[in-house]
Amino acid sequence: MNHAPIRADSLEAESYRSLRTTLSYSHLPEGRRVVLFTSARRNEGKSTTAANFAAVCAYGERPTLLIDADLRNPRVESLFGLADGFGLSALLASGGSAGLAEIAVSTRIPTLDLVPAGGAVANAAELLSRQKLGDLIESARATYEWVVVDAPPVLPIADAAILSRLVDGVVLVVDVSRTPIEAVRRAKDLLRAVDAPLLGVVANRSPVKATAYGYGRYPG
Amino acid sequence: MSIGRLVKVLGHHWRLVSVLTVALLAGVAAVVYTTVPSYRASALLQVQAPLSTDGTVSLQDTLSARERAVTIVALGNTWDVAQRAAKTIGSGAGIKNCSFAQSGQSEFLNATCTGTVREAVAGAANAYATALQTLLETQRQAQIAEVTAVYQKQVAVLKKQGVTPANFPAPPIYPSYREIEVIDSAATPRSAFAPRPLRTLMIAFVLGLLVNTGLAFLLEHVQNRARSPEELRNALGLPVLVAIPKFSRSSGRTTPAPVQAVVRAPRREARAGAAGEP
Repeated sequence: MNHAPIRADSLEAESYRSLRTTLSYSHLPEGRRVVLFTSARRNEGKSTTAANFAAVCAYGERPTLLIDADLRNPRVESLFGLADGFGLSALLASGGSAGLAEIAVSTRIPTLDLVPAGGAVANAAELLSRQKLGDLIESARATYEWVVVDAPPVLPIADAAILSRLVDGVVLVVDVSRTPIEAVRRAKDLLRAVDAPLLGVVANRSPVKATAYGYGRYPG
Repeated sequence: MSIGRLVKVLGHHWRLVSVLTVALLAGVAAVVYTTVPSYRASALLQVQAPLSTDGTVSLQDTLSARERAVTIVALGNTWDVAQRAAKTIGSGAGIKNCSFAQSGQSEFLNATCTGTVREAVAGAANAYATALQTLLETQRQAQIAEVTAVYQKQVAVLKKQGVTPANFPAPPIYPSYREIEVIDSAATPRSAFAPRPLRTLMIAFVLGLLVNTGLAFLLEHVQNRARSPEELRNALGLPVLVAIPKFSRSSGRTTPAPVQAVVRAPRREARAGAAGEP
């Protein structure tokens, strides 16, 4: 395969690989895994973390699908340089029989596909509650080893709580440089209240010297 | 508050505390080193108590002198004394302020002058002391003249009445000493009393450190953030799956390496035709 290599000495790339390893050995079901990334508030790096996590999974030769389920504030399209087009919101809003094959977009890596949000919508909670989303995720589970869902933040809206019932694990991304710990606690309590399978937290934008968490600069 | 807590808070906000303290020191240093130095000199005066016949000073007279000192200080700080002193000092001597003050509750007074010309302040303090002494002496002489005139009028009346001199009342007795004496003239000061750079900077450093540490505690309370994965794990009771470092702004990148690698990878055909590829 002709992949553009990820720099081996890149600290951030290594941290995403470390996350992949941790989740691989977590309590997720063997083989096919659906993981949702959310955060307490906006701008904590949730979409970036989900996108990079999906990228390292794909580089690990595992078929991976990244679903942008943040229908109010989609970010994945811009991260991957995609133009707005037909996406999840349009699929959920339509009554037709269109499915995953119609909205999945391939990327420059054969093992990574995307489901773009397809433009911001106002009635996101209603769309995400439809059975069609559950069917879509089950369909993805049959095709991909890793299904990564980028969900909206927990505190302002209920979307993440709705989505958490459809996935195998939930990862809470926390911007340690600015998010009040009380906000993260409230987000955790909300997810616990809906029995979300909370796997743990990603300490985003951490001080570099976090050697206790398994990465460091090493020769390329 | 424990030392551990102090160290932790300062560890979180050491940049803020350092920057603010250094900025404060720089500001204070700029003010200190651009301020024109001030000099101060004092002359010491003593309010005199009358001597007893045996040459000693009674306690009552000493107490009286101390009470009198209060009145004399008030007199010293009047326009009259300032005017008299000004004639001696002359203009352009850089004198900013002169005043009298009682030394504690004693019979001693200080005539103190401050100014920007080191050589002039001692002369000004001495001029003020002398001016006060002269004013008091003028007043004393005027009182003596008044009492003497009254006595002479009484004697003249008695003479007209044919009273013999032996039966005249005794002449009034006047104290022979001046009311205040300069007992220590002001000397030219060796150094400026203000500003004092080292002392001022040390005070600014200590105060700055205290205030900025207080600010750090305030921020800690208001922000209440978990600054490390360990703190996050302890606060939430959840495992920290990974700690992702903060991107270096100097690198100019807005997306981290894995996504960049995807975007830069060679194009391939779209898997589904419904949406366009980048």
